[in-house]
Amino acid sequence: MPLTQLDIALNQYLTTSLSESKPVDLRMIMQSLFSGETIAPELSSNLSFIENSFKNQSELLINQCVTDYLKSNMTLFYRAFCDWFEQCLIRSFALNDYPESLDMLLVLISKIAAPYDDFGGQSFTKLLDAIAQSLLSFVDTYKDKVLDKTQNRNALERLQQDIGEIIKENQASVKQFEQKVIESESQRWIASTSKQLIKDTIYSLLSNKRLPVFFVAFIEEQWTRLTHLNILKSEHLYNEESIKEHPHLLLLNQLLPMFDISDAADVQAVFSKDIIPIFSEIRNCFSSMIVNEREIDDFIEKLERLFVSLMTNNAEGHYFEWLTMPEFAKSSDHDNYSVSLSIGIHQFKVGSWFAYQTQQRTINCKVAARDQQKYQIVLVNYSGARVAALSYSEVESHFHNGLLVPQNFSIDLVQMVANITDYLDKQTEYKKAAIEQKLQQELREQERKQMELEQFSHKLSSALKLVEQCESGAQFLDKHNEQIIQCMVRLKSSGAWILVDARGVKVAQLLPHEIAHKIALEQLELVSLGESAQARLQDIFSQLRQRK
Amino acid sequence: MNQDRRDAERFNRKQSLGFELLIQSAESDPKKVSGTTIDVSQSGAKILLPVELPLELIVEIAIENKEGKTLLLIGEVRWCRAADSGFEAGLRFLDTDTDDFEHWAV
Repeated sequence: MPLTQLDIALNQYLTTSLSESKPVDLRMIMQSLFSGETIAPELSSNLSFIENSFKNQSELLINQCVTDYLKSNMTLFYRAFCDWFEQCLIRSFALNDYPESLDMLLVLISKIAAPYDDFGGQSFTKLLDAIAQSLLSFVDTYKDKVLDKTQNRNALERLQQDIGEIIKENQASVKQFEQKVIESESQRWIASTSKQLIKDTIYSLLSNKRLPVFFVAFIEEQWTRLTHLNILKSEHLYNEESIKEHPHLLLLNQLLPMFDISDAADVQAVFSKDIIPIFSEIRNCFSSMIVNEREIDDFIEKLERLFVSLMTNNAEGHYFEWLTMPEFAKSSDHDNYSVSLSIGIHQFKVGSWFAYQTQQRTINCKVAARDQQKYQIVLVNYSGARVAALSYSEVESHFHNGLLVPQNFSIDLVQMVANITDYLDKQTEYKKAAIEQKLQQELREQERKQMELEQFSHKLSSALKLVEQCESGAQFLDKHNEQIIQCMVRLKSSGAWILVDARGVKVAQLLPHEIAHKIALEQLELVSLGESAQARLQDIFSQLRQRK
Repeated sequence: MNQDRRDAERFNRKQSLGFELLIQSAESDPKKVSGTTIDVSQSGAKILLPVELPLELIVEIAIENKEGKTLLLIGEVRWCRAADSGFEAGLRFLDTDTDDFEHWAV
């Protein structure tokens, strides 16, 4: 089951991503979510991450199932397909149950949509729209509903049936269309090939024969045309062999030996018995056709006169102009329907798909009919409309020139899932490495802070020793305000120093350890310990006292 | 009523005592100013002097106590305003380890 592989990879990825601080049971979270239970607040903050992950993986898979062209042109279908699969994936993940019908639906819908192009026809668009509606209806029906494994399986099987019906209905209507195309192609083929077939057969019959010119002219025009019309009306399909059995040609074959008889007595012997019945046969043959009867009458009359004159040794027979027909050479056009496919007929079986490039566009089309008698392949689009009817030689040529490329629309779900699981596994490894790196970084940061703390503590202790030595007049550089401040007096009660600026105005009242702290923080820098200043002050006050 | 308040009340509040006030400044040489008290207490004094003092200025005062002995006190200017004959200022005495504050209230 390919989707279970996806489940494993997705579970690892999400669990790794969410359990940076403590392990989580993701399946439990999803189950709680589906059963409407309240989930832990620290996990609820990760819900959007979980939902996004399912959404992303669903899109990654569906993007492999459909073409970019379909994605941008059948947006409703694409979104419905993505949303449906996302919902199924989340539910299957929560239930830890991947029904076979889910795989089958995924493959079926992908396969149906695969040939989509600009030339698929309305029927194809309607089919995809109908499938999209069915998927959306599924999503709406089961959204936020608590389903157990059986209910989930049943819902998917029902959807499978619904979509199966939609496809069946579509195929039935397409089939009707296809049949019409095949029939029409058959008529077209008969029309285009039978005339040549008749001509060739007639010329092969006339080959090397000495014949009256009027006779040859009638055969070339009227006889050929009338036989062709007769064949078009007939339901029977003629080939090179069977055409020889056509009544018109059999009749012609009966008539031709009569022109070889030159002796009057011989002509007389066959005239009543053989030739006269042929004349009425000719009339019969052409009676069902809309022809100019005068031409038939004229032709038969000429024939009568010819044979009568030959029979009576009348010189008139010699007045008819004669010609010897050339040796028959088969026309090259004939090859179109007489070749067989050297590229392998099996590739062109009915229902197989090809990308057919014609007039600077490429159309996805399928073989609707392969006629071994006509040596012809009929290609239709998804909706059953005619794309082309190609002779075997055209098929062969197009195939070799890359204008007819076989299309494989089968869906390799295993490979698709493998692509995603590979990606997820890499992401999981990346996450693990990132977590490890983060931990290492935190450890290093802790060590650094510890070191800084130790260094600070050392600095503080050194600073405190210095501050304890300070006397009145000790000077500091206040780095923040960029000025020199000094210890003016020390309060007896608290031991705090009154610090004054250059004018003697109080700027701070700090305890020694507070001053040391500021020194350690490099906010203050000790400039002098103030002994000399203190001494100077003592002098001043001594003088003051003395003077008083 | 706390002890400080009681101590302060022992003073004759309306004493006019002469004093010398020393303004120490790193910017210039120490400056000496003479003035008189208007009102005194154990914790401070209201003084009259010819110059204006900046707020929070720390000053040294050489002043006689009630026994006529000259004491050195350290004070902080809490307020200062112009008066008819100079400037009035409020000083709060600081009990530091270098002055004679302990003898002031005795």
